[in-house]
Amino acid sequence: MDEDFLALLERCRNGEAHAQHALAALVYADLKHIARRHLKRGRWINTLDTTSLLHESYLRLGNAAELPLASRAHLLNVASRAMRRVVCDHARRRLRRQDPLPVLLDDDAALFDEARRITALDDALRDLARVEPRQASVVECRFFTGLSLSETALALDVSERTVERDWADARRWLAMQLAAA
Amino acid sequence: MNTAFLVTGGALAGALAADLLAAHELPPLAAGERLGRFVLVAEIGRGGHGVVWRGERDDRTFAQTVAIKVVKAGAGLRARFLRERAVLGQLHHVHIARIVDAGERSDGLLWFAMEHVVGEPADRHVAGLRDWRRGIDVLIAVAQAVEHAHRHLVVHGDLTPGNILIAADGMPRLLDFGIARRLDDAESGGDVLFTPGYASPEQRAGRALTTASDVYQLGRLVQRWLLEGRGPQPPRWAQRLLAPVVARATAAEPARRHAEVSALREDLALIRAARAPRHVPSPPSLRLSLFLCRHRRAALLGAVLVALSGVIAAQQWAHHRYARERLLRDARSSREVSAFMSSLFRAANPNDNGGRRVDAEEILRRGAERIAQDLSGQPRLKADLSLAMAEAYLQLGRTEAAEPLLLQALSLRIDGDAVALARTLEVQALLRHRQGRFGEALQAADAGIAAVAQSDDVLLRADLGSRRGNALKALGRLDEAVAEFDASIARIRTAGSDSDALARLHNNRGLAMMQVRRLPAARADFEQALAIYAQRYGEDHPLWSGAASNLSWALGELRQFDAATTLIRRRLRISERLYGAQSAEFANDLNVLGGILGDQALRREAIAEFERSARIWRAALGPDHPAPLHPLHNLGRQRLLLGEAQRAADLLAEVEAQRLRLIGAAHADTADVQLDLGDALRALGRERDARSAYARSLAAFSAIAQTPPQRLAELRARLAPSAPAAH
Repeated sequence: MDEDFLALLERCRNGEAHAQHALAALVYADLKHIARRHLKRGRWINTLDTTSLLHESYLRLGNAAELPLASRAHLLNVASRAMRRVVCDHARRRLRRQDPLPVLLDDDAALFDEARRITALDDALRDLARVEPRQASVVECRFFTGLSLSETALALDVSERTVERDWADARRWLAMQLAAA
Repeated sequence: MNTAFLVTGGALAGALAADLLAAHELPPLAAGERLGRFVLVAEIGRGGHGVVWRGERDDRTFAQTVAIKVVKAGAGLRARFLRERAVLGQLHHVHIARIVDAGERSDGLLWFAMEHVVGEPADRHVAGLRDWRRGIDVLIAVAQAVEHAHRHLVVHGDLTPGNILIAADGMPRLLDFGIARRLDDAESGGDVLFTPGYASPEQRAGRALTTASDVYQLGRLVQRWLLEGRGPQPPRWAQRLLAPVVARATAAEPARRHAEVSALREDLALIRAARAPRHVPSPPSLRLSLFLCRHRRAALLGAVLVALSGVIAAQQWAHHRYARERLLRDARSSREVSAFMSSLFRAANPNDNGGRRVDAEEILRRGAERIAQDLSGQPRLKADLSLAMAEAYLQLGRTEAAEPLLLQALSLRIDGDAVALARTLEVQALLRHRQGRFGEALQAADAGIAAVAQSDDVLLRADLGSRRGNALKALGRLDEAVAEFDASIARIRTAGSDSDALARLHNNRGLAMMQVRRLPAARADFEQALAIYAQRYGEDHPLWSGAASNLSWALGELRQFDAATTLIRRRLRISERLYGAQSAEFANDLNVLGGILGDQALRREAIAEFERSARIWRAALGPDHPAPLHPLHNLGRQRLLLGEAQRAADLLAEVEAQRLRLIGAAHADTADVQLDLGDALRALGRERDARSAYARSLAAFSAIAQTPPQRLAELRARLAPSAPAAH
């Protein structure tokens, strides 16, 4: 499995679209698995700690420190995409589940509000990705994965200033879209 | 909608992420509170998973006392709970405390209401027994309850004296299935809760529960009650026989234990009857006396037939009750048939073969010879026997040997009665289907249905319906196939028959449902079939395991990998034993296993299984059968997912060409492979070829009435002018 992982990472760097897809699937499965394990042990009470989660993913690769910079960048990139899927899938599931329950408690109401916000954001991001794919990627890294400016810059292979600018532009554009929705 | 929430890490800080990760705490409950139709009366137990209350029904219908187990379920567990509830609702067994109701409160609190069993704790009851055989009876009853649960893919996981109550009838009720784990639970991490002294080594190590864990715990119960002096003491000889059974059941390594609870139960029943257990080595002296016993019984003609069917059960055709019923139909010929069969039986001399595994092929070969020589003056008997032999050959996968016998039977039936003719045509439809000649299979089934139209033989009509539906499905006429299965199932249910024929129909409709991707419906059908077979024949019977193979396929597609893998591996062991490692059946199961592995992204492992499957299948069925193309197609898919686009494209193009040749363009299988071929070509940058493949696929799918709409949408997206050069 780990060999597959490394080989896939390598092929990603060579720009193979299918490898990218397969790697995302692997990381996605990983994240879900790790999240479930933590859930089961009752740790991680209220926040999703992406950094430690990614750290576990690194561990699969053996010696993380020796991982080439470009591979780490790809991993961050792919993980961000996977995180978006984890969160948005969950939001959609929650919304689907809402209907049969006639009475909602206050907590639930907040939850469903957020779920609606997130799914609307997800849809808007899809549109954004068509015109400004990099900006959409920045939102994935920042909002969904909690990556810092420098980590985002590394993941997307751009300068930190670019990340800052994209982040600001994307937020403005998304604000308009979500207001219209 | 404002975007204040759009901050770094915002998605991870809110209520949604907390909901994704945090387990809900159990809210406090008080006497007098209502849950569904019940009012809580008093807390009667508490454990790591929740609390148990005694409750009274309060909907003004009738009085009923229940035990209500209240559990806390974290977010995301609701779907699993609903599934579990559906299954627990199916656990109807005399030795299992019944689930009466279940529900969920709006705050996410989940509860089960169970039959409230008034009884004695098992330990106390057993300690008071004087006859050790009563103790075995209790254990056997517990084992039966556990087997029932396993058939529904539920592992108990906590078989301790504390979870067994002995009701007034002296028989056990198994409690606490509410915390049991479903085998298809995707979250297979070890459950933390277990009872010290009873947990299996794998449980203590935090690994996933399997049916082997229940075998272990049953073994511990046998040990506790019968060998450790906490119950009635068995005589020395029985202790000597029990000790190795306990040792095997409680082996540290799950693979060394009894493969099934039924095997352990069988050993217990044998020892109770003063016979040697079958699943552990037993002393030679006992083996000899059993051998003599078998020999004496075999001298009786009646017993010979029973023994014969028992022998051949191991070789897969005892379930052909039709064959036997037909053979015994009228008194005049039954004597001759008995003599005939017993002569074959003697000739094959089972005792020289260790008493169990007679070479069925040898029996059949002699049978066919004798039919040709001895029965020339008795056309009806000759036809009956020829048909029975043909069926047996078909069950052994020997279509070429079955064909002449079947044609002989058909030629003798021309002027015979309609039902006998229909029965023969039914077998002919099966033969043609096995040969991949689906059009002829359909003709035979239609002719059979016409012949049986005037009779009230519901079961035969149902079997012909199965054949017709299968032929239609193989021809790609899925809507007609499903309609035929629906109608046949309705007909047989109206007749109130719970039979093999019904199980076959469910099984076949399930396969059709798989093809149109109605997975839950398929799963329900397979489960129905499995339940009928398990009830009629027990588990590990060839029929049961055949349906199990299909169920594991459905479970895999539903991403319930644990259950799917457990089932298919068990089925592989059975099909290797029954059909051999070179058979089409075995190849089919390897293909299912490969699919389950592939769905878990275990691509290399999946590829190995697909390659093996394709090789065996092709060798078994020859170059003109479409079935071996399934593993090849799957192989191509996996290569594509691994990024090996060139190898994938070559494979998929070959599969497409073969399918066009063998099943034609207007078939879902052909369209399927064309879609995947398009993906492979697109990945290679061969955009024009890719679009051409997509267009072929779209044309084929559009022509098939039952194509799911999302399939068409998928294809149109790929064909859109703006579609990416690689997706």
